[in-house]
Amino acid sequence: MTYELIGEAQAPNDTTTSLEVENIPDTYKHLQCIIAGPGYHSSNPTYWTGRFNDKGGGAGEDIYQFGLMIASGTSGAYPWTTGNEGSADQFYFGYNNGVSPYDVQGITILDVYDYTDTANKKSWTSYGGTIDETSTSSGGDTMVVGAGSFPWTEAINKISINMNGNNMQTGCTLRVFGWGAP
Amino acid sequence: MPFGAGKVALLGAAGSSGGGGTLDVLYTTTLSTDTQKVSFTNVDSIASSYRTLVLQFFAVGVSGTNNWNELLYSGTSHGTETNFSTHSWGAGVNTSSFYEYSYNSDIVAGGGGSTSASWYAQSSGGWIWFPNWQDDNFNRGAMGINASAADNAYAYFISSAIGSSGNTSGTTISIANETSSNNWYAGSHFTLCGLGGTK
Repeated sequence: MTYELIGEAQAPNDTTTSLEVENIPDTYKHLQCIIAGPGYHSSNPTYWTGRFNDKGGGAGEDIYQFGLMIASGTSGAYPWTTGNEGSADQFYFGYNNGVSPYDVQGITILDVYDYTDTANKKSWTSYGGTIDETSTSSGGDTMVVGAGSFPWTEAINKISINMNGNNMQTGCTLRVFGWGAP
Repeated sequence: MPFGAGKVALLGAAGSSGGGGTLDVLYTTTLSTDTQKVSFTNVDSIASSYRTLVLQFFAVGVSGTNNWNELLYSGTSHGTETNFSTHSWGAGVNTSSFYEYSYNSDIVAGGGGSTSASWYAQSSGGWIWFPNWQDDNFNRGAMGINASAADNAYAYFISSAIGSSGNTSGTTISIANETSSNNWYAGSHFTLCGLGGTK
């Protein structure tokens, strides 16, 4: 069974707004994206969002379906939990609670299944979180699980991610791996 | 323990092959005796060949009850570091919550709990990612997910955790039980993989 790196992109500075890997070949069964770094260069909360094949952003294209479950907060047995679901012109797959001076650790895994299947819509799941290294009470810590669908039957050949239009931290990295036989 | 003191062996040249952009098994071990901690050493040299490390584990059981599976991410010794941060999210009879499990503690990420001394009733498995092992911009972090089986509806456990080492270096990854008197049962196995070519 293969598991190979297809491509990677890294934010060169903290004004970077998008990371992309394109020209994804159709030689694997599934894709796994590993996103290292907190993502967000801000102390405000925001979501990880993304698009496949540059789909979305136009009229009538708010058709990415997704759901997120988020746990966050500080120490204790009854944390803040929430969710986010619906449709949009990009899919939501992660969350960053935002901590100044941004020294949170972030890790997100985004799996895309049967990405070359041209007979059916695609689906994805995500799993990730952030951790604030500076405090036990800042609320900068989160964990997220998500799932959604890509409502087109074309093969996915490009993945782009962003922090819902905001700037990223320097060095945040998107790596796309392919695995399994198609 | 085939290699003593929880140490496991490097498999051939996989760790120094440059990775080739694929997934390589770097270390693997199946415990022959009950063991408190399993360590993967010299991971700094391995990491120069891979972008991401992944640890897969399957534990047939733990000798004590209500343990957290402790993951270390350290250049020195177990239980002496002071700059790790960890958050965990779990479900089961022992927790229904999101914990800031540690801060300035000796671990980087928590795992699942065990609730029974019966080996078949508390087997567990999971994955832990180290996606930024080589990154120069951020401290090294880890994120894991774990599920524990149970022989009744109140003893299962599902958890995930994320942590940061507070450091940009480290030479050892260890996985252990929180309580040092408790052991992974013989038959548990642990595999460390490298993903994705050279830096």
